[in-house]
Amino acid sequence: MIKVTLYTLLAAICISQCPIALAKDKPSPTYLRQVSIMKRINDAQKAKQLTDKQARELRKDLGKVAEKKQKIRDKNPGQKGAENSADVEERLTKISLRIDELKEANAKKSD
Amino acid sequence: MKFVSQFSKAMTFSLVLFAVSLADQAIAANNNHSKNNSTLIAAKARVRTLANPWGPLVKVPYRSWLPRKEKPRMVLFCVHALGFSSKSYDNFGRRMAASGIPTYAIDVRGFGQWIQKPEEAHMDFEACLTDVEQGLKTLHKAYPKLPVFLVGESMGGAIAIQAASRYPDLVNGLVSAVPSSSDRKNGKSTSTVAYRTSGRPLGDVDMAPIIVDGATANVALRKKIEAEPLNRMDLSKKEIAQFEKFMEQTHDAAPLIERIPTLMLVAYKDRLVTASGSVELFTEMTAAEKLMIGDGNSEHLMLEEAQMTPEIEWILKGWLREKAGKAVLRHVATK
Repeated sequence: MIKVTLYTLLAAICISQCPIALAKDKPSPTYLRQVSIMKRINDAQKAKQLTDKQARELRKDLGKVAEKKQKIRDKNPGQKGAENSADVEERLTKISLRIDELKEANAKKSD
Repeated sequence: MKFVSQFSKAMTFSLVLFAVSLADQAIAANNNHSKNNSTLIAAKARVRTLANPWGPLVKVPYRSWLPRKEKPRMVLFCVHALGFSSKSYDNFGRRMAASGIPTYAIDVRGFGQWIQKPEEAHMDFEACLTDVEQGLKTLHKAYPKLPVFLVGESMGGAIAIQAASRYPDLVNGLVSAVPSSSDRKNGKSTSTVAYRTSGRPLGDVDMAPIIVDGATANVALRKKIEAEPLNRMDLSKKEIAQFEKFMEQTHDAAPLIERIPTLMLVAYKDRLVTASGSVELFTEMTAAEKLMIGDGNSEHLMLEEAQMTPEIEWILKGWLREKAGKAVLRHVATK
C-alpha cells in the first residue's frame, strides 16, 4: 500500500512539475525586446522604409547584442536574468532609435 | 529509516522504468526505420504552387509529402542546396511522411520551377526569405498547435538559419546540414574557386564541375544530378557574388538563434566544404538547446538526393520527436 502511494506521489510530482518547469523557461525581457526589434526591422524593410543594406546592418548589430548576452550568461552561470543588464538594454535602445532615424531619413529622401 | 528504504526502492524502480521506456523508444524507432523502406509508397507526394498573399501575382512552387493515415505531431519545411530544387528532397520527404511527418519543400528563387520562367530565373535571397516566412505562416495555419521545424541543407541550411533568426516565433526547431560554404580561416569557398577557375570576367559560370563533383563521389548520382532538368548549375558571376555575400551573412544571423532548438549536421566525407565552417557557425549560435552530429559516412549531401544514412535518419527522428514533445508542452504551459 505504501509502495503504491509512493509511486502515485512520484508520478504526480513529475506530472505537476513538468509544466511549471517549462513555464519557468519563459523568455527574458531582453529577448522579447530583441524579437520585437527584429520584427520592426523586417516590417520596415518590407515597407521599403529601410534599404536592404540598412536592414542587414541593423540585424548585424542585433546579433552583436545576442553575443554580448551570451558572454554575460557564460560569466554568470546559473544566474537567471543576468543578461538583462543596463548595458544590453542600452544597446537595444540604440538600435531601436537608429531604426527610427533611418526611417525618417529615408522618408525625407523620397519626398 | 523504513521510509528511506522504501523511498530509495521507489526511486530505483522509477529509474528502471525510465530506462525501459528509453529502450522501448529506441527499439520502436529502429523498427520504424526498417519498416520505412518498404512503406515509402505510403507517403503521398504532391507538387504545387503556394499562393503568396504579399504579392498576389507571385506564386511559390513547393512539393509536399503527406502521411496517409497517421495523425501528425509535427511538420517539416525544407529548403534545398545551391543548384538543386525541392525535388531533391523527394526521398527524404517520403521517408519522413512514412513516419507520420508531413514534409514540405520550396524552390528557392532562381531554381527548380522558377527557372521555367526566364524573367524569374535569377537568385533573390531577400524574396526567398519572404517566401519562407509566408510558407511558415501558411503551415502554422494549416496545422494549428503543431510545431513546425525548418530544415535546410548547404545553402538551404544557411537560408534556414537566417529565416529562423528573422522569424523566431514561426520556427519551433531548426535542422541545418552543412550550412557553410567556406572555411573562413583558409578563405576558400565553392564560389571563390569557381570564380577564380573561370577565365571569363563576365557571363555565366558552370558550377556543375564544382558542386556535383564535390557533392558526391558516386558517378551514377552525379549523372542523375546533372541530368535533372530542375537543377540549375550555370550561375552568373553576379549571382555567385550574391551567394557568397549571403552565406557570409549567416555568421551575423547565427547568434540570434537563441531560443530555437537546433540540430546541426556535419559530414566528414564532405569534399565540397570543410566541416570547420559549420562548426564555427554552431559555436556562434547562442541557443541553449543545440546539438551537432558529425556523420563519418556522409558526403556533402546529407539529406537530399536519397543520401540520408540510416544512422542520421534515426538520430533526426529521435531529436524531432523529443523537441516536438517539448514544443507542445511549452505551448500548453504558456496557455
